[in-house]
Amino acid sequence: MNLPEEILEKILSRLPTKSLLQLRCVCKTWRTWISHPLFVKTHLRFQLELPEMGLLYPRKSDHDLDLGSHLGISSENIVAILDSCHGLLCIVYRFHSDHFPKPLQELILWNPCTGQCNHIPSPVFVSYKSYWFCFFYDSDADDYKIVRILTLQTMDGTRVDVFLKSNEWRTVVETHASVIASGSAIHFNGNIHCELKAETSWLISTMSKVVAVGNKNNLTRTVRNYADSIVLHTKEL
Amino acid sequence: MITLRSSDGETFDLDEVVAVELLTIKNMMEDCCADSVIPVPNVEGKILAKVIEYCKKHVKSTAMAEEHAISDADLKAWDSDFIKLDQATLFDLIMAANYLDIKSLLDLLCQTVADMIKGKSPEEIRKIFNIKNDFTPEEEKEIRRENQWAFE
Repeated sequence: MNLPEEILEKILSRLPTKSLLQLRCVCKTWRTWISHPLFVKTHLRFQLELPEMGLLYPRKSDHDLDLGSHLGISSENIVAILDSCHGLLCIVYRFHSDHFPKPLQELILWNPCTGQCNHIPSPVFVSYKSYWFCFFYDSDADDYKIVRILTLQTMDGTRVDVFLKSNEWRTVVETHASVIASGSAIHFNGNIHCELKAETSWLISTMSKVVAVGNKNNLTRTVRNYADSIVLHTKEL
Repeated sequence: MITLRSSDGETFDLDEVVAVELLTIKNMMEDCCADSVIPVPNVEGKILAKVIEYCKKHVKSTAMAEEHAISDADLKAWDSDFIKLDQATLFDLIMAANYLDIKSLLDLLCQTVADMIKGKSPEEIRKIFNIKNDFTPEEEKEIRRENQWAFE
Protein backbone atom coordinates (compact mmCIF):
# COMPACT_ATOMS: atom_id res chain seq x y z
CA MET A 1 0.00 0.00 0.00
CA ASN A 2 1.64 3.18 -1.12
CA LEU A 3 0.46 6.39 0.47
CA PRO A 4 0.80 9.51 -1.67
CA GLU A 5 3.55 12.00 -0.89
CA GLU A 6 1.23 14.66 0.55
CA ILE A 7 -0.09 12.23 3.13
CA LEU A 8 3.35 10.90 4.02
CA GLU A 9 4.42 14.49 4.56
CA LYS A 10 1.53 14.98 7.02
CA ILE A 11 2.51 11.83 8.88
CA LEU A 12 6.25 12.49 8.97
CA SER A 13 5.76 16.09 10.12
CA ARG A 14 4.36 14.71 13.35
CA LEU A 15 7.48 12.76 14.20
CA PRO A 16 10.20 14.10 16.46
CA THR A 17 13.46 14.96 14.72
CA LYS A 18 15.27 12.01 16.24
CA SER A 19 12.83 9.52 14.65
CA LEU A 20 13.08 11.32 11.33
CA LEU A 21 16.84 11.00 11.27
CA GLN A 22 16.51 7.24 11.71
CA LEU A 23 14.04 7.10 8.85
CA ARG A 24 16.59 8.55 6.46
CA CYS A 25 17.91 5.02 5.93
CA VAL A 26 14.57 3.45 4.95
CA CYS A 27 15.13 4.09 1.26
CA LYS A 28 16.59 6.69 -1.11
CA THR A 29 13.27 8.43 -1.73
CA TRP A 30 12.64 8.90 1.99
CA ARG A 31 16.17 10.18 2.49
CA THR A 32 15.61 12.83 -0.18
CA TRP A 33 12.21 13.82 1.22
CA ILE A 34 13.36 14.14 4.81
CA SER A 35 16.28 16.34 3.84
CA HIS A 36 14.26 18.45 1.40
CA PRO A 37 14.09 22.12 2.49
CA LEU A 38 10.32 22.28 1.91
CA PHE A 39 9.72 19.30 4.13
CA VAL A 40 12.04 20.66 6.79
CA LYS A 41 9.97 23.82 6.84
CA THR A 42 6.64 21.95 7.07
CA HIS A 43 8.06 19.82 9.86
CA LEU A 44 9.36 22.85 11.73
CA ARG A 45 6.07 24.68 11.43
CA PHE A 46 4.25 21.68 12.83
CA GLN A 47 6.71 21.11 15.68
CA LEU A 48 6.59 24.79 16.68
CA GLU A 49 2.88 24.46 17.32
CA LEU A 50 3.31 21.59 19.74
CA PRO A 51 2.97 22.52 23.40
CA GLU A 52 6.36 21.15 24.35
CA MET A 53 9.41 21.98 22.40
CA GLY A 54 12.92 21.46 23.51
CA LEU A 55 16.23 21.61 21.79
CA LEU A 56 17.52 18.12 21.06
CA TYR A 57 21.01 18.06 22.44
CA PRO A 58 23.08 15.04 21.48
CA ARG A 59 25.20 13.56 24.23
CA LYS A 60 27.91 11.02 23.71
CA SER A 61 28.15 9.97 27.34
CA ASP A 62 27.56 11.37 30.77
CA HIS A 63 30.16 14.06 30.19
CA ASP A 64 29.27 17.47 28.93
CA LEU A 65 28.83 18.03 25.25
CA ASP A 66 32.17 18.57 23.58
CA LEU A 67 31.05 21.40 21.35
CA GLY A 68 34.41 21.90 19.73
CA SER A 69 34.59 18.42 18.26
CA HIS A 70 31.20 18.85 16.64
CA LEU A 71 32.26 22.10 15.05
CA GLY A 72 35.77 21.12 14.05
CA ILE A 73 37.52 23.72 16.22
CA SER A 74 39.36 23.66 19.49
CA SER A 75 36.94 23.95 22.41
CA GLU A 76 39.02 26.54 24.20
CA ASN A 77 38.48 28.97 21.33
CA ILE A 78 34.72 28.91 21.71
CA VAL A 79 33.61 32.16 23.27
CA ALA A 80 29.89 31.71 23.70
CA ILE A 81 26.64 30.40 22.32
CA LEU A 82 25.15 33.70 21.27
CA ASP A 83 21.62 32.92 20.37
CA SER A 84 19.33 30.20 19.14
CA CYS A 85 16.43 30.09 16.78
CA HIS A 86 14.29 27.12 15.67
CA GLY A 87 16.80 24.70 17.10
CA LEU A 88 19.79 26.26 15.33
CA LEU A 89 22.60 27.66 17.42
CA CYS A 90 24.70 30.70 16.64
CA ILE A 91 28.14 30.33 18.19
CA VAL A 92 31.02 32.77 18.32
CA TYR A 93 34.61 31.61 18.40
CA ARG A 94 38.06 33.13 18.35
CA PHE A 95 40.81 32.58 15.88
CA HIS A 96 44.21 34.08 15.29
CA SER A 97 45.03 35.72 12.00
CA ASP A 98 48.43 36.87 10.81
CA HIS A 99 46.93 40.13 9.58
CA PHE A 100 45.69 41.35 12.93
CA PRO A 101 47.45 41.63 16.27
CA LYS A 102 44.44 40.59 18.29
CA PRO A 103 42.39 37.43 17.77
CA LEU A 104 39.34 37.83 15.57
CA GLN A 105 35.91 36.53 16.26
CA GLU A 106 33.83 34.53 13.83
CA LEU A 107 30.38 33.00 13.85
CA ILE A 108 29.13 29.51 13.15
CA LEU A 109 25.53 28.46 12.68
CA TRP A 110 25.12 24.91 13.90
CA ASN A 111 22.25 22.45 13.64
CA PRO A 112 22.82 20.01 16.51
CA CYS A 113 20.38 17.49 15.04
CA THR A 114 21.92 17.06 11.63
CA GLY A 115 25.42 18.22 12.52
CA GLN A 116 25.56 20.76 9.71
CA CYS A 117 27.74 23.82 10.28
CA ASN A 118 27.72 27.08 8.39
CA HIS A 119 30.68 29.37 8.85
CA ILE A 120 29.58 32.98 8.59
CA PRO A 121 32.21 35.12 6.88
CA SER A 122 33.63 37.81 9.15
CA PRO A 123 32.18 41.25 8.89
CA VAL A 124 34.60 44.08 8.17
CA PHE A 125 37.03 44.46 11.02
CA VAL A 126 36.27 47.54 13.10
CA SER A 127 37.55 48.38 16.57
CA TYR A 128 34.70 48.24 18.98
CA LYS A 129 33.95 48.84 22.61
CA SER A 130 31.16 46.35 22.75
CA TYR A 131 29.07 44.27 20.43
CA TRP A 132 25.75 42.56 20.47
CA PHE A 133 24.30 39.93 18.13
CA CYS A 134 20.83 38.70 17.47
CA PHE A 135 19.99 35.63 15.38
CA PHE A 136 16.41 35.23 14.21
CA TYR A 137 14.08 34.06 11.46
CA ASP A 138 12.59 36.73 9.22
CA SER A 139 9.34 35.22 7.93
CA ASP A 140 8.81 37.96 5.33
CA ALA A 141 12.14 37.27 3.68
CA ASP A 142 11.89 33.55 4.53
CA ASP A 143 15.43 33.52 5.77
CA TYR A 144 17.50 33.54 8.90
CA LYS A 145 19.28 36.80 9.65
CA ILE A 146 22.01 37.88 12.00
CA VAL A 147 22.08 41.44 13.26
CA ARG A 148 25.20 42.93 14.81
CA ILE A 149 25.21 46.18 16.76
CA LEU A 150 28.69 47.56 17.38
CA THR A 151 29.60 50.40 19.66
CA LEU A 152 32.73 51.82 18.07
CA GLN A 153 35.96 52.37 19.91
CA THR A 154 37.70 55.03 17.90
CA MET A 155 34.97 57.62 18.03
CA ASP A 156 31.64 57.70 19.67
CA GLY A 157 29.42 55.92 17.27
CA THR A 158 27.33 52.91 16.57
CA ARG A 159 27.05 50.70 13.61
CA VAL A 160 24.38 48.13 12.82
CA ASP A 161 25.10 45.38 10.29
CA VAL A 162 22.85 42.65 9.01
CA PHE A 163 23.99 39.35 7.53
CA LEU A 164 21.88 38.42 4.54
CA LYS A 165 20.99 35.45 2.34
CA SER A 166 23.42 36.77 -0.26
CA ASN A 167 26.18 35.72 2.16
CA GLU A 168 27.36 39.23 2.92
CA TRP A 169 27.15 41.74 5.70
CA ARG A 170 25.40 44.98 4.96
CA THR A 171 25.65 48.07 7.10
CA VAL A 172 22.18 49.44 7.71
CA VAL A 173 22.87 52.15 10.24
CA GLU A 174 25.89 54.27 11.06
CA THR A 175 25.37 56.95 13.61
CA HIS A 176 27.58 59.12 15.79
CA ALA A 177 25.67 58.43 18.95
CA SER A 178 26.96 55.59 21.03
CA VAL A 179 24.16 53.19 21.52
CA ILE A 180 24.88 50.04 23.44
CA ALA A 181 22.56 47.11 23.11
CA SER A 182 22.60 44.68 25.96
CA GLY A 183 20.71 41.84 27.50
CA SER A 184 18.97 39.11 25.60
CA ALA A 185 16.94 39.88 22.55
CA ILE A 186 13.37 38.81 22.13
CA HIS A 187 12.10 38.38 18.63
CA PHE A 188 8.39 38.64 18.33
CA ASN A 189 6.30 39.04 15.21
CA GLY A 190 9.22 39.94 13.03
CA ASN A 191 10.65 42.57 15.33
CA ILE A 192 13.64 42.43 17.62
CA HIS A 193 13.16 43.94 21.01
CA CYS A 194 16.30 44.81 22.86
CA GLU A 195 17.42 47.21 25.50
CA LEU A 196 19.46 50.10 24.23
CA LYS A 197 21.50 52.30 26.47
CA ALA A 198 23.11 55.51 25.38
CA GLU A 199 26.48 56.30 26.88
CA THR A 200 28.38 59.33 25.77
CA SER A 201 30.96 61.26 27.63
CA TRP A 202 28.86 64.38 28.00
CA LEU A 203 25.73 62.70 29.36
CA ILE A 204 25.42 62.90 33.11
CA SER A 205 23.11 60.02 33.54
CA THR A 206 22.57 56.93 31.42
CA MET A 207 19.38 56.60 29.55
CA SER A 208 17.90 53.21 29.04
CA LYS A 209 14.87 52.42 27.02
CA VAL A 210 13.28 49.42 25.42
CA VAL A 211 13.01 50.06 21.73
CA ALA A 212 11.39 47.92 19.07
CA VAL A 213 14.02 47.34 16.41
CA GLY A 214 12.22 46.26 13.27
CA ASN A 215 14.07 43.89 11.03
CA LYS A 216 13.35 45.36 7.63
CA ASN A 217 13.11 48.99 6.73
CA ASN A 218 11.98 49.64 10.24
CA LEU A 219 15.41 48.68 11.53
CA THR A 220 17.09 51.61 9.88
CA ARG A 221 14.40 54.06 10.80
CA THR A 222 13.87 53.10 14.41
CA VAL A 223 17.48 52.81 15.47
CA ARG A 224 18.43 55.94 13.58
CA ASN A 225 15.51 57.83 15.10
CA TYR A 226 16.45 56.74 18.55
CA ALA A 227 20.13 57.44 18.05
CA ASP A 228 19.33 60.84 16.54
CA SER A 229 17.09 61.67 19.41
CA ILE A 230 19.96 61.06 21.82
CA VAL A 231 22.21 63.36 19.84
CA LEU A 232 19.51 65.99 19.77
CA HIS A 233 18.94 65.71 23.47
CA THR A 234 22.59 66.01 24.36
CA LYS A 235 22.97 69.11 22.21
CA GLU A 236 20.32 70.75 24.28
CA LEU A 237 22.16 70.16 27.53
CA MET B 1 -31.19 13.85 3.36
CA ILE B 2 -28.17 13.13 1.19
CA THR B 3 -27.35 9.75 -0.33
CA LEU B 4 -23.79 8.61 -1.01
CA ARG B 5 -22.90 5.59 -3.15
CA SER B 6 -19.61 3.80 -2.59
CA SER B 7 -17.40 2.30 -5.29
CA ASP B 8 -18.98 -1.15 -4.74
CA GLY B 9 -22.56 0.10 -5.00
CA GLU B 10 -23.51 0.43 -1.33
CA THR B 11 -25.63 3.45 -0.51
CA PHE B 12 -25.66 5.50 2.66
CA ASP B 13 -28.21 8.08 3.75
CA LEU B 14 -27.06 10.93 5.90
CA ASP B 15 -28.41 14.22 7.24
CA GLU B 16 -27.18 17.30 5.48
CA VAL B 17 -25.55 18.52 8.70
CA VAL B 18 -23.33 15.42 8.67
CA ALA B 19 -22.74 15.47 4.91
CA VAL B 20 -21.21 18.96 5.04
CA GLU B 21 -18.44 17.64 7.31
CA LEU B 22 -17.12 15.91 4.19
CA LEU B 23 -15.92 19.02 2.39
CA THR B 24 -15.65 17.32 -0.99
CA ILE B 25 -19.32 16.29 -0.72
CA LYS B 26 -20.29 19.76 0.53
CA ASN B 27 -18.75 21.30 -2.59
CA MET B 28 -20.51 18.81 -4.84
CA MET B 29 -23.81 19.58 -3.12
CA GLU B 30 -23.34 23.27 -3.78
CA ASP B 31 -22.41 22.69 -7.40
CA CYS B 32 -25.04 20.24 -8.53
CA CYS B 33 -26.11 17.02 -6.93
CA ALA B 34 -28.35 18.35 -4.17
CA ASP B 35 -31.18 15.88 -4.73
CA SER B 36 -29.56 12.95 -6.43
CA VAL B 37 -27.26 10.20 -5.25
CA ILE B 38 -23.66 11.34 -4.95
CA PRO B 39 -21.15 8.78 -6.19
CA VAL B 40 -17.94 8.27 -4.22
CA PRO B 41 -15.95 6.18 -6.70
CA ASN B 42 -12.70 6.08 -4.72
CA VAL B 43 -14.07 4.62 -1.52
CA GLU B 44 -15.36 1.13 -0.72
CA GLY B 45 -18.57 0.55 1.22
CA LYS B 46 -16.98 -0.71 4.44
CA ILE B 47 -14.58 2.25 4.56
CA LEU B 48 -17.26 4.81 3.74
CA ALA B 49 -19.32 3.33 6.58
CA LYS B 50 -16.46 4.03 9.01
CA VAL B 51 -16.04 7.58 7.71
CA ILE B 52 -19.72 8.30 8.16
CA GLU B 53 -19.68 6.79 11.65
CA TYR B 54 -16.86 9.21 12.60
CA CYS B 55 -18.59 12.25 11.13
CA LYS B 56 -21.90 11.42 12.79
CA LYS B 57 -20.23 11.13 16.18
CA HIS B 58 -18.31 14.37 15.83
CA VAL B 59 -21.26 16.38 14.52
CA LYS B 60 -23.47 15.00 17.28
CA SER B 61 -20.85 16.00 19.82
CA THR B 62 -20.73 19.56 18.55
CA ALA B 63 -24.50 19.85 18.59
CA MET B 64 -24.94 18.10 21.92
CA ALA B 65 -22.06 19.84 23.54
CA GLU B 66 -24.20 22.85 24.26
CA GLU B 67 -27.06 20.85 25.79
CA HIS B 68 -25.49 17.79 27.36
CA ALA B 69 -21.86 18.79 27.46
CA ILE B 70 -20.05 15.76 26.08
CA SER B 71 -16.62 16.13 27.51
CA ASP B 72 -13.55 16.34 25.33
CA ALA B 73 -12.24 13.39 27.28
CA ASP B 74 -15.20 11.23 26.26
CA LEU B 75 -14.80 12.17 22.61
CA LYS B 76 -11.08 11.45 22.78
CA ALA B 77 -11.82 8.04 24.31
CA TRP B 78 -14.26 7.32 21.50
CA ASP B 79 -11.61 8.33 18.95
CA SER B 80 -9.07 6.01 20.61
CA ASP B 81 -11.44 3.08 20.19
CA PHE B 82 -12.34 4.13 16.68
CA ILE B 83 -8.77 3.89 15.43
CA LYS B 84 -8.20 0.37 16.74
CA LEU B 85 -8.12 -1.03 13.25
CA ASP B 86 -5.85 -3.23 11.17
CA GLN B 87 -3.22 -1.45 9.15
CA ALA B 88 -4.84 -1.96 5.75
CA THR B 89 -8.10 -0.42 6.96
CA LEU B 90 -6.22 2.47 8.53
CA PHE B 91 -4.48 3.26 5.26
CA ASP B 92 -7.73 2.94 3.30
CA LEU B 93 -9.38 5.30 5.79
CA ILE B 94 -6.57 7.83 5.37
CA MET B 95 -7.01 7.81 1.60
CA ALA B 96 -10.77 8.23 2.03
CA ALA B 97 -10.42 11.07 4.56
CA ASN B 98 -8.00 12.78 2.20
CA TYR B 99 -10.27 12.43 -0.82
CA LEU B 100 -13.38 13.45 1.08
CA ASP B 101 -11.45 16.32 2.72
CA ILE B 102 -12.27 15.70 6.39
CA LYS B 103 -9.50 17.52 8.23
CA SER B 104 -10.10 16.30 11.77
CA LEU B 105 -10.30 12.66 10.70
CA LEU B 106 -7.20 12.99 8.54
CA ASP B 107 -5.29 14.59 11.43
CA LEU B 108 -6.39 11.82 13.79
CA LEU B 109 -5.34 9.09 11.37
CA CYS B 110 -2.00 10.71 10.52
CA GLN B 111 -1.21 11.04 14.21
CA THR B 112 -2.15 7.38 14.68
CA VAL B 113 0.23 6.26 11.94
CA ALA B 114 2.97 8.59 13.26
CA ASP B 115 2.59 7.01 16.71
CA MET B 116 2.77 3.60 15.07
CA ILE B 117 6.02 4.48 13.29
CA LYS B 118 7.73 6.11 16.26
CA GLY B 119 10.24 3.78 17.78
CA LYS B 120 10.21 1.24 14.94
CA SER B 121 13.35 0.25 13.12
CA PRO B 122 13.82 1.14 9.45
CA GLU B 123 13.30 -2.53 8.55
CA GLU B 124 9.93 -2.63 10.31
CA ILE B 125 8.97 0.64 8.58
CA ARG B 126 9.78 -0.89 5.21
CA LYS B 127 7.42 -3.78 5.98
CA ILE B 128 4.61 -1.43 6.99
CA PHE B 129 4.86 0.68 3.86
CA ASN B 130 5.95 -2.13 1.58
CA ILE B 131 9.16 -0.34 0.61
CA LYS B 132 12.18 -1.93 -0.99
CA ASN B 133 15.54 -1.07 0.52
CA ASP B 134 17.56 0.38 -2.34
CA PHE B 135 20.66 1.20 -0.31
CA THR B 136 23.75 -0.95 -0.41
CA PRO B 137 24.88 -2.15 3.05
CA GLU B 138 27.75 0.39 2.89
CA GLU B 139 25.42 3.29 2.05
CA GLU B 140 23.08 2.38 4.88
CA LYS B 141 25.98 2.14 7.30
CA GLU B 142 27.16 5.60 6.23
CA ILE B 143 23.77 7.18 6.88
CA ARG B 144 23.57 5.57 10.31
CA ARG B 145 27.02 6.86 11.09
CA GLU B 146 26.10 10.42 10.03
CA ASN B 147 23.22 10.51 12.48
CA GLN B 148 24.63 8.13 15.04
CA TRP B 149 23.12 9.85 18.04
CA ALA B 150 19.62 9.31 16.67
CA PHE B 151 20.13 5.56 16.86
CA GLU B 152 21.37 5.52 20.43
